[in-house]
Amino acid sequence: MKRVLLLSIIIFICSPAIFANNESKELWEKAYHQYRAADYDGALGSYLQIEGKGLSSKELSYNIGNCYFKKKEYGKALLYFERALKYNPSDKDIIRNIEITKDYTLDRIEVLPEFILRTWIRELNYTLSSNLWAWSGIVLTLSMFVMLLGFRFAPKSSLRKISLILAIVAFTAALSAFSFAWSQKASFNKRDAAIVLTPVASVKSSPDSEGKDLFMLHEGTKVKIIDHIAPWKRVVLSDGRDGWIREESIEVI
Amino acid sequence: MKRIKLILGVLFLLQGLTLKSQSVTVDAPGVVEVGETFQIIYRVSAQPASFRDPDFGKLDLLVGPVTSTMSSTQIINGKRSDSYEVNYTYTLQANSEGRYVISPASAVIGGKSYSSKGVVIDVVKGDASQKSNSQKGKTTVTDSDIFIRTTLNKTHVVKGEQIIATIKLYTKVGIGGFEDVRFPTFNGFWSQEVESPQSIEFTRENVDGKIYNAALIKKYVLVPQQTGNLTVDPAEMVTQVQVKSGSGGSGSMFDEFFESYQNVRKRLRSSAIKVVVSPLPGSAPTSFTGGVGDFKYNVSLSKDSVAANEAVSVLVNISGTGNINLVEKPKLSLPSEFEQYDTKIADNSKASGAGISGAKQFEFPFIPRNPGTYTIPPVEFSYFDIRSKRYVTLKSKELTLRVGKDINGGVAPQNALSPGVNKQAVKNLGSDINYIKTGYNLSARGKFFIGSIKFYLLLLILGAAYYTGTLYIKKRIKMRGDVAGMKNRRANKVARARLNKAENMLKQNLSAEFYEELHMALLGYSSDKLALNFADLTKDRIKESLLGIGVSEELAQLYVDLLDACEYARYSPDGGGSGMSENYKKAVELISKLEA
Repeated sequence: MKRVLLLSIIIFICSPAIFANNESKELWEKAYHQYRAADYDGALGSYLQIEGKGLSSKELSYNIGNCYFKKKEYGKALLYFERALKYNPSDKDIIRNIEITKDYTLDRIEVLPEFILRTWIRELNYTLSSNLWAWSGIVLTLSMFVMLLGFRFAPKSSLRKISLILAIVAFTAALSAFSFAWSQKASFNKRDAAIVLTPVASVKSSPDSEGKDLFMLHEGTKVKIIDHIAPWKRVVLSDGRDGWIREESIEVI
Repeated sequence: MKRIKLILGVLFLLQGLTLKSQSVTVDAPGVVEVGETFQIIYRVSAQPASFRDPDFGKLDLLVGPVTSTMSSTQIINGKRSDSYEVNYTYTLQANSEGRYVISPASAVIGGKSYSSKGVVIDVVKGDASQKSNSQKGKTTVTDSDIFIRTTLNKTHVVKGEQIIATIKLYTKVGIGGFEDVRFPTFNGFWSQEVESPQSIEFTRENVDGKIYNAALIKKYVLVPQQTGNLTVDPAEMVTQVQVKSGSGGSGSMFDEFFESYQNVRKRLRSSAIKVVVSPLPGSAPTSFTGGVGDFKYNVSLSKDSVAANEAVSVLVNISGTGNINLVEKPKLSLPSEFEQYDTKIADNSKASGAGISGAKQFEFPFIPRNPGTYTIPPVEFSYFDIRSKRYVTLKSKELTLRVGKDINGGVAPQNALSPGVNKQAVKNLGSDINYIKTGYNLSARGKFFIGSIKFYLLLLILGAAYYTGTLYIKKRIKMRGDVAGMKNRRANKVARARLNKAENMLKQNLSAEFYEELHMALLGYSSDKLALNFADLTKDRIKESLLGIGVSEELAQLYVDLLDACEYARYSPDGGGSGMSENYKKAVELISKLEA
């Protein structure tokens, strides 16, 4: 009975490994060879096919972005680089590619520098993926419980003291691991940023076509969405200006 | 046998002597009129052993063959050259219009057979007016008697395709000369004269069924430089036509002999010709530099291996037919290590009656400054192929250049500086995005472990495991009846409880009860802690056991001494009330120390 339970738990835990099948791996290899042979259309097709299966990863989004860049579709390239960045905002390759791709877009918008401590914490946060953090949190919780058992039943009072201290340390570590995992999940699921994909899009003062044109945005510019009245979206630029834009001219990252 | 060989050898030698460039050529008019008598002459360059007549078909052979022989010897500066010729002349007449093919004639010279080319003769209807003109004498010239004509070999071309324009003079009447010749300017074309005869030679030509004497005046190669409808302007000239002076018209036979001619000026003008120039297809490759025609392409290095600071060049040769002189230099990307110089262009193209053809060479000189092995990437060259109407891209092979050390030991001024002075920053040549990631890593989109049912279940399992763990451990302790363990764990508690009681006695100053409690506390503690039966509780045993669990000698002695003190006080008559609080403090201190 116990053995069956254990087995079912192991299968339950390992289910993601079973999910990633052979076919998508072959497609991945094929796309890589197509990219190497400078067949960017073919490589893009293969990658999009993988994406169509409902699979995703940082690497996939990044590679799709690279294909679009080589096809000189800079708006879409930026969209996919930003999507890859959601998995890890500290990835050097992605940051560099975004910088280079931005040279090919028209709009130049000042971005305010970030507080250094936030950058550090974010870098620490993204040293592990959300799932790894969650798993390490689980492991820490487990060790906390073991320590608590030790605290309650250790034969010597000195051992009990050490167990208590370790249990407290494991508890705080587990809590921070879980909070990192949560924050990664939350920022991934946030759908408040978008990239302009049409060559030119006008931003209006009100959500109707009669509204006054405030400014024009060009392909590849990143905006933040703060409100929504179909078919319009209220967007804010990183320098603080805002207005209403048609929702079909932008795509959410 | 030997003799036969000798004879054969001699014969062969003789034959060799006589074989010297023998040929049979034919001389015949291309166009004749019905009823006209004309001659066909076969010229044989040596005395033939036999001559086979050609088959004249339906043409009437009037006279022939008439054989005539001609020989001459020339000695120039002591060099002798002989020429010998036998002519066979046939006089023929055609009775009806049509095209007549005369089969080749053949001659046997020195045992070998030579044959002439076949001849095609167009027979056209006789021009009655011409005859009457020449008979009656004519004082005026009409446009059909003399005219010039410009002909193009094509009128529908693509931009850059070459056209051959021919200007010819056609006449039935005699010409005294011409003046004031104006050739067209060819607006919208690049043009080059290819034939411009010094003397005018007339040949007979059939124009719309009439026989004219035609002469080539000029031939041009034209290359359209614009698209759309272009016009080739007319050519103009003034000719002096010889016309009989109308002396009498009596028709006497003397007139025929004493005819006098006078020159009449006549202005001639060819008609303008429209040329439709269509643009090249839009999908031109990037390496297209304007070439239209049919080209071959070759890229080479002037030397495969050189020393540093020695000049080398990449040679790009383009040859073929087409507007080769208008082809621009192909793009060549040399490694940036090389010092590059201006390109030299050598144009060896020639314009002839068949158009422009030849070769063009682009020389890209450069000097490699540092030793090493360099590859020069393939150079592409594209042209528009007229025949297949599409762009053709030719690609050269990759070239490898080995650059050795400078023979002069690198005494170039920049290398003569002291070490460390001529360091340079690493230059950025270009920027590109980083390469794609190759590690295979995929998961279902938006699936996070944290917050999932699985995550909470695991936490729950952990909590439950902890709870069952505590229960299990408690149960195990009970089941094993681990009294000793329990006692050990409870020893402190029991001892403390006894000590509390003793403290109460101390406050009430009940010395006997106090010592009893204190004694019991100490004995009970040692029994629980050391897992000893009450029966075994001798002082020696206690001390031994205390030392056995790692208590220091000093503490163990203190413990035993305290036990002694308690016993003494319990059973002594004075009740030992003086040291009560002191002994109590000692006991508390001792148990705390043992528990630590």
